[in-house]
Parts: sequence; C-alpha cells; structure tokens
Amino acid sequence: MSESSTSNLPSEVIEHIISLLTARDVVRSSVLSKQWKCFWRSNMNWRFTSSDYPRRKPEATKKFLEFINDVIFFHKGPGIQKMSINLARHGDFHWPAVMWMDYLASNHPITELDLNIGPVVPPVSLFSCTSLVILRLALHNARVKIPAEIKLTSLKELCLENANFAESKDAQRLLDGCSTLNKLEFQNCTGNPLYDMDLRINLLELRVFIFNSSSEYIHVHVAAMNLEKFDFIGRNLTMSEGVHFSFLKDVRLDEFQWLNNYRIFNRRKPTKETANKMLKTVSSLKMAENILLGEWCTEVTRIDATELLDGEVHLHLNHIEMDSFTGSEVEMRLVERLVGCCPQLRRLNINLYCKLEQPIRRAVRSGVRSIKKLSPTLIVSVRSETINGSLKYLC
Amino acid sequence: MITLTSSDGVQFDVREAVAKESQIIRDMIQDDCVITNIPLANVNHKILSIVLEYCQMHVDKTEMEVNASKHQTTTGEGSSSVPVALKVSSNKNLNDWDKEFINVDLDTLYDLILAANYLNISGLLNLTTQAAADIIKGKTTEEIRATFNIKNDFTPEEEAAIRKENPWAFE
Repeated sequence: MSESSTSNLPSEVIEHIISLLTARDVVRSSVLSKQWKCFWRSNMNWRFTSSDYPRRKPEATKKFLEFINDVIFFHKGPGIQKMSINLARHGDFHWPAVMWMDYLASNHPITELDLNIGPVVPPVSLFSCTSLVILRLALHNARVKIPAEIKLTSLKELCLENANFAESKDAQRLLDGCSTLNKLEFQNCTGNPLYDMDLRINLLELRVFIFNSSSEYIHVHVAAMNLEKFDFIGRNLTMSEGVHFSFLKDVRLDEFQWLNNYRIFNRRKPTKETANKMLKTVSSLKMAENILLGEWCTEVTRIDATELLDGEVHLHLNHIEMDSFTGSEVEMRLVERLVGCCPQLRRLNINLYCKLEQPIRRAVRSGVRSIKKLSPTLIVSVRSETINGSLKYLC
Repeated sequence: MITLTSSDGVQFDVREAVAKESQIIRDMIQDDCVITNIPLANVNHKILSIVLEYCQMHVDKTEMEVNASKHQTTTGEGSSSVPVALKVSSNKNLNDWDKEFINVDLDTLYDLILAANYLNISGLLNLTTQAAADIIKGKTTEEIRATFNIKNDFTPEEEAAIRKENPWAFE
C-alpha cells in the first residue's frame, strides 16, 4: 500500500467498519492507534460470539463480563442499535443477562436483539421496547412471564426458542401485542403440560410463520391471510376455513420424526388424527406451489384420502416433496391422488426412510414408474438418505 | 444525460438514473433541475469509472426486475412462476457480481471507500466497508497495522495496558 492508509479515513467510515466487526475484533482494533481507540465506546452494533468467551481462564472470564457491562452501561455515543450475545453452554448468566436486557430496552435505541445466554427470564421492560424491530431469544426452557401490557409496536421479526410459557394464555397475549409482525418463529416452545394451549395466528402482516414443537398439547390455528411461507412441525394444526391464503406458496407440513428418533427421544408415533388434519390442510391450500409432507402420510386412512382429495379438488402445486417415505400402500395411493389433483405438478421428490428393506424399495420404484406413465411430463426422483446423512438417488 | 467530470478533468456521460445512485448528485439534481455538468473534485477518473460501473450494473438490474414484474402483471397469473424465478436468479447474480467487483487491491478498495462515502452511495459504501471488515476479521493487530499501513502511536506501556484490560480478545 502506498502512502494512503486507513488512518486517513474519515471517522464516520472507520465507525462504519467497526460496526461490522465482532466484539473481539472491535477490541483488537482499539490498540491499532489512538485514532482507532476512540471508536469502540460509541460502537452501535455489537456481536459477542460463543468463541469470544474465555472458558478456562477465570480472570479473563471476569474481564469479559465486565467488558459487556461496560459496553452496555457506559456507552458513549448515540446508543446501541444491534446487540447479539451468544454465551449458551458457558454457565449461568441469569442476573447479568436480565440487567443487560433491561438496560438495553430502556436506555438504548435498540432495533435488533439476539440473545442466547442460557435460561434467562426476560424482564418486563423488554416487552414495552417500542424501538425493537427484530427480537430473537433462545431461552433454554426458562419460564417466560408475559406482562399484561405489551408495546412492541415496531416489531417485525420475533423468534423464540425453547421458551416455556408458564400460563397457557401468555403466548397468545404476546402475539396479540405484536400486530406488525412479518416473521414469527416458535422453536421448541412449551407450555404447561397440564393445560391445552391454543395459539391463534391471525396477524395481518405476517408473511412467514415457522412453528416447530413436539408438544402434543399446543393447538395451532392459522388465520393469517397474507402468509407466504409456512413451516409446521407439530401435531395439532387447523387452517381457518374462511381464509383463502392466496399468497401462501411454500408450505412444510411435518412432524417430529418418529421413525428415525423414537429410541432417543421416545417420540410417539404419528396418529391418524394428525394425519387427517394435515391432509385436510393440504386440500385447503389451493394456491400453494411447493409443499413438503412428512411422516404423517403413513397414517392417512384410505377413506380420508378419497374424501379430501377427490376428483374435484384442484391444487396449484408444482413441486411436492415427501419425507420419510416408507412405501406403504396408503402412501402410494396418496401420491397417486395428489398427482391427480395437481395438473400443474412438475416435480415430485420422494425421500425414502433410510432403513427400508430392499423389496419395498423396489416396489416404490415400480409404483413411481407407473405414476410417470400416467403423467409423462412429471419429473420424479426417489432418493434415500443413508445412515450417515448423504443422499443416494434410486431413480 | 449528465456529464460527470473527475478531479483530473476526464468527462463521463452517464444516464441520469445511473448518476442518481449517488445521494449527493440526487440532491444536486433535485435542487437545480437543469444541471447537466457536475464536477467531482474528490474522485479521479480511474476510481470514478469503477464507481460508475457499479452504479450502471445496479441500475440495470433494478430496471430489469421492474420490467419483469410488469411483464408478470400483463400476462396474467398463469405465468407468475417465471418472473419470480428470474428475480431470485438476478438477485443471486448481483451478489456474485458484487463479490467479483470488490475483489480489488487495497489501494483501490481504500479509494472506493472514500469515493462511496463522498458521493454517498449507500450500497457501494456497505459493500466496500464490509470488504475492509472482512480483511480485519481474525487478524492480529500487527497484521492489521501492516495491511492498512496504520502507524502505531501508542507507547509500549500504553498498548500493554489496553491489552491487559481485555485479555480475552488477544488470545
């Protein structure tokens, strides 16, 4: 490099560059020169990653936590806008984390908060933080208490991971208070197993909804009419009948995999009831283009398949993906019916359950060949996930 | 058409839409709508031509998308899947193009950052500062100083004191 150097960069540019670094690199940049040292206290975006945490050195650990305190409580600039802290699995930070959240929500113009700090109960102030646009919390089964009044008036994106809603109405109250949401993610959240928990998703601005839970007592009712993408992994789902979902293009209807995991997680087998609900959902999604169907297909009854996918149902699907396919007779019939209902179908992918015996594999292949004969332009691929996770194409 | 003159006197004729990628030029045109020649005292012709290449590409891509969505509305719902696919691929192409575009030597990167900041082209400023941040990522302070030619004006004691404050960042 010639005589030009970054020490001649205007300070707003250096500030900009620093705001793109992780916490470790921000601190390193503070010893570059006196000019660079001025900037870290006013840095608006902070990212503390799990690898920054000095695990084996108690003295360094203390300094690290003090540094986060410094950053949050003694900020000298226009305020922190983005904060991301990932310290999961490093210990119990409940009290400092509650204070960090409380101070960020009350004293900073925070727009993005992404915290994964172990089991931490979010303070009340967080739920009335009007500047927040993106909120991602991994709560490690901490019991969340939702205050009576929620003022997350700018929130566009909410992701809750492993939150435990102590009161069965808490989750609903939270959602009702976030009317501007575009994206909602519930990952492995639980309620009180003694009570059923109803979740009504009727947010008007919601575009993306991702729900993933093995809890059998959470009932999800979807009525968000502007949904574009919907990922559901769970048991109890109903789609509101009066709503058309005209923008809903990408759908996943799945369950916690039982076939591959039952020994480890003691999962229950998919039920006929779930299968019926899921199938009903499929037949109601008239405008969907891409869909992924899970293991519940094995439990679809012949009567339901005939009733819900009769000759008069027309779906817009052009891509169907079926997971953990076991080659049973009902599944083969279901595929046939689906193909029959979807005149625009162009692609069908079947992922076989990995421990399938050879004769069944052969039967699936020959079944697929006969479907191909019926609709020659359809591209069909059958693949099998091997035990080590790689994919093997069978036809 | 608008004529932009670089600091070393080279003239570039560009479409108004391309010039308007720069916030500062956009403001000038808004204040004085008959302006046709804008001298840029802080950007030489070599850097200006690179900057204009960036603006041209981004304007073209945006216009292509607008046309594609117009096409979509006029041809009815049956063909809706085609423009969506087009949009996705053009976004992907643009990111790839940006990545290739920013693959320049440090001197040029430095000048591009200054030009993007002076002309206030937010996309280019984000792209160039991100590239600088990527260069800093994971490097030791000595390496960063050497790369960016930053003069260390701390005394050894001062530097040691800062390092001692935050040992976790210097492991």
